[in-house]
Amino acid sequence: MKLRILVFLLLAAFIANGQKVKVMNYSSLDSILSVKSDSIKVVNFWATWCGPCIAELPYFVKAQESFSNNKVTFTYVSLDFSKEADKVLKMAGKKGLTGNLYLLKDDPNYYVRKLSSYWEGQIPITLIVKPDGDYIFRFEPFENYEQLSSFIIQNL
Amino acid sequence: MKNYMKLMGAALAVATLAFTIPSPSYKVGDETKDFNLKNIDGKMVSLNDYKDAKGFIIIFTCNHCPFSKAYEQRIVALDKKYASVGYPVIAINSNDSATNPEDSYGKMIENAKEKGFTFPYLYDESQNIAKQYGALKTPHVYILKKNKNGNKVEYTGAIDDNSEDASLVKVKYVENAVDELIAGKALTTKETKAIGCGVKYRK
Repeated sequence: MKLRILVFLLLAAFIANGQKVKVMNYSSLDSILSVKSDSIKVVNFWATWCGPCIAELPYFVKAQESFSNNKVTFTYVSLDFSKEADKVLKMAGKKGLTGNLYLLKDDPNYYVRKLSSYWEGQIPITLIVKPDGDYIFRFEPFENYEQLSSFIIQNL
Repeated sequence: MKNYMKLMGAALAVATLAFTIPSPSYKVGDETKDFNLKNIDGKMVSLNDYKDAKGFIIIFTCNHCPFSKAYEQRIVALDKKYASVGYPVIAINSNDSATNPEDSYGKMIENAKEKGFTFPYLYDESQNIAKQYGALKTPHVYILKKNKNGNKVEYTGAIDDNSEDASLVKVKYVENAVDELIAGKALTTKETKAIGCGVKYRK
């Protein structure tokens, strides 16, 4: 019974938040990132099990607010196992992520190479997709909000 | 504008910060230096102790990481299959136990017992061996082949192509590489990229 209430509360929280985690393979993610737009896309690769990823999420939450008047969208790509999608949604809700939530389910040896030859597979990494389709990478965690905001401003 | 310039300056400073993750030191084709690390039974282990080995499956791993956990039984299976034909598994934990208390030496002993590890599980407390190899994540595999000078790296990367579900694996990278080494063939795949938990280096 307790479990049922918990499940209900969790579901209610998700619905209230209106968020979903979309599980997809790399080619779907690639098509989404390639969609032409006059906004820049800030794309963060993270996972619930990754300490440094969780540590930098508050900076993204702050950036979501600070850049709400600019043409900037936020996308969070979780590399958690697909069976952990609920955990991803819960963490995203707890931290206050309001952007697109995706869970990438594919062979890392394929998508790590495809995304960038400079990526060794560590996370977090953050990518900015510029309106002209250029990819700008940061392969390290952000240590404070200023580092993230300057990364975004440089590419506005 | 002034603020913008300031931010640009800050951005440049960030860009020039030292890279905290060591770039891979050992690449395929490199000769490796031996190590001498403490095993979970308290004894010191070096590659040189293995007089009959033809090579080694070196795996940087740890206790806490979900990817390492997902691979534990697959690593046991690799050792069972290949130790007897000259390619034993040697697992190394290099994580800073201050960052992850679950990765302490004491917990390694418990974990190995609980999961039935058949191979040495070495504690790289100084983190020097992980740095020497350039281990970035757990699990991170280096397959070595013995020659008259020492041991040469033949393969680096992932164990297979599906960390989440062993039953859905299509390509067994490590098994293929060791099979080819044993058969004296050139390796089809010498390097793969993997996602894993970052090796927790002390700052």
